[in-house]
Amino acid sequence: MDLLASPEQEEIAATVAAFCAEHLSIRQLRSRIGEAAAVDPATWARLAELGWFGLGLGADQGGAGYSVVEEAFMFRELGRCLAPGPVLGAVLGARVAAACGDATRCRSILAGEALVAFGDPDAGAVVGPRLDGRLLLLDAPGSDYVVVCDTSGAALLAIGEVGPLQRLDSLDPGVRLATAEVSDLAPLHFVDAATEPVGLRAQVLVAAEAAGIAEATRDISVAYALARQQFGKPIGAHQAVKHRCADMAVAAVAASAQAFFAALALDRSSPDAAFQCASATFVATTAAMGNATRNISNHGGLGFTWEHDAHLYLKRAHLLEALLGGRAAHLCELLDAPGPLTV
Amino acid sequence: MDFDFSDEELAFREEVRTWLAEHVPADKAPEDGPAMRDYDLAWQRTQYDGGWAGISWPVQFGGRGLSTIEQLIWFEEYARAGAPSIGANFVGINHAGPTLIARASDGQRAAHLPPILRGDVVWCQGFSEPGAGSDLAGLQTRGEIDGDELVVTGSKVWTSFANLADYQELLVRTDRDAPKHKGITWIICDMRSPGIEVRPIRTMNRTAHFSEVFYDEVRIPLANVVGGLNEGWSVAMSTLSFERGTGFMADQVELARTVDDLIALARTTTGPDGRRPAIADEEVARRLATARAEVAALRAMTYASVSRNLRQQTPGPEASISKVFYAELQQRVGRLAMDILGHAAFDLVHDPLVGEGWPAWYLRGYGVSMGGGTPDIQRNIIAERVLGLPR
Repeated sequence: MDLLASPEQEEIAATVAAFCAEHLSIRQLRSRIGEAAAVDPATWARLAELGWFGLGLGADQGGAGYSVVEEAFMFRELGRCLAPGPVLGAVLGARVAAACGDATRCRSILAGEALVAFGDPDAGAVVGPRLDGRLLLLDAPGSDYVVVCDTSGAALLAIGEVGPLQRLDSLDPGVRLATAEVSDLAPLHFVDAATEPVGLRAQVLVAAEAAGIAEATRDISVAYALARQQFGKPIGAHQAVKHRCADMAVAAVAASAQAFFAALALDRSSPDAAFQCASATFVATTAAMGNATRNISNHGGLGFTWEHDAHLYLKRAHLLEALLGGRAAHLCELLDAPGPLTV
Repeated sequence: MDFDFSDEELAFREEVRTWLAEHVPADKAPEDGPAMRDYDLAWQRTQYDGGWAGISWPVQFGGRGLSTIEQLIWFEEYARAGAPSIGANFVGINHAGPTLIARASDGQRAAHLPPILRGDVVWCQGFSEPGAGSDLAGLQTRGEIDGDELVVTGSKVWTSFANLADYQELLVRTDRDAPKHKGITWIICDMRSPGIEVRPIRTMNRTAHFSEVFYDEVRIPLANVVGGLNEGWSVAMSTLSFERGTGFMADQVELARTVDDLIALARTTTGPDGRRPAIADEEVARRLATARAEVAALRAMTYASVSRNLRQQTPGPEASISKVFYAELQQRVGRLAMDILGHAAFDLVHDPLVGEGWPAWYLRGYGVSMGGGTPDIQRNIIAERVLGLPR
């Protein structure tokens, strides 16, 4: 048992972080506000070249042969810098295609030729061999497919199969949001959660991304608390700010620890995997929301400006918290599923 | 990164589970007083006879010398078996013993370690004073050298189990001219020495958990000094790092069981509508689910701490992060228990077969959060030593 990152995992995280700092930073996110796609095609091709979308797929499926644990390391880094682009859709979409034996579509997604929007089902929507209900689509413009999942299974559908897109004036300027209806639709592919638990994987990756937000906002606050002087000393010397930063550290550590614990549980198909994944999404999105809020408080008036990044973290945290059924969705899982002492 | 246990570790878990199933006492610990002391020491003796005393202590000092992973397994099985909490043995096993192992002379170790392991003696901790709580280094209890003795005058407070203890790990000021961290000495004090008066303080849950201790020219042999005169601060800090590190692992693991017990209670207790079980109430269900998720995170944090300990041995300031998370969660769970119980929350009855009830557990949480440093002091430690913010 060792819950610390291996040197190889640290390297994966460092590589992702370095690439994001150069090509997927908040500066780039801001510069593309108003553009049709979140990421320019050349950058997207680079991501594909680097093998990001197939990190957790087997080599026989065109992937790198790592697991959901390494994917979680990648998503934590994406969360830290609010990396734009439909990476979640690509990772999950390729997995559904691979699980359904569709090597052609899988490879085109891995190669970055086909884009996949993540479709989050509204409460009451049906995910199954026939799809029904309303979806919130992340980065649908320019996408070829939509991947939809919940804890019962996952579907891949062509973007043309969903009803007309209702584009939103997106709260989160880093993600192009739209809604669409599907009505009794047979998707290109559907895979049952018992065969391939895509929904649990989505929970882990959202948790890892949220953990990254919790960590980044903690670090931004600590840097500001050291630099900003009031009453003749850094504001971080005042306990009101100092203790808020300490609380941010506690929340971030809890979020990361549980996200990776859940990734390991899913990777091992532990009997308590569903419980661990639901816990991870809950704890990590709560931490992201809490820290994004505290980060604004620590910055005073600056935290309310468009110019400062604090609001971008807050808005992404809201989006992640609302995905996968939101906070209430995992209630039964968290109450009734076998936990650590009963397995 | 992996969370698989090795075959040896799994075999160890099986061994622990079997032993605990056969030896955990059927009756529960009395609330306080001599009866609690007798109960706790008898259970320590049982563990000693079974070869389980001092699981984290090195073999050369009579312990099991188990790795942090095996300790974790032990505590998980311990919680699963519903074994008694460490109670009056806490200071001896988790503080004084490890400190003696780290800093004492061979003679001091030979005299004191075996009785702690055997369950012959109870230790207490004389650190906090009325004027030195969070600012521990401001302590004023005096120790004056007179021949081969230290003459101690002053007072200590919040001393858990002082009224039941045989020995105390005592911090006194032996150099009043030195900077405050430099003039402190760590000494072994026999609690039966003339001049010691122990006045138990009742806690909010009625029990005499801790005491005030007064010292009126108490004469302690200089041979009882551990780690050298005026070296007491560094000796004390090694103790606190144990308390904030593995010392709380048992509590953190235990909380998972407690929350599952609370969910079971919510299934059988009538809820706020007077008809359905409490768990059918949406707010109760949501708070229980939240607690279960947070306990999972606490466990993941504990596993991560264990992993870190395996790489760097002594617990670092990161232990304060788990402590803050645990203390707040424990209090939320306690409050939830009170809400689920309804009117039954107002009965502090102590049942010998059930032990401490939910209301007493809830109240005790207010003390648990203070032990080893208040939540505010833990936040200072996190901010200054983990995050690098200024003092």
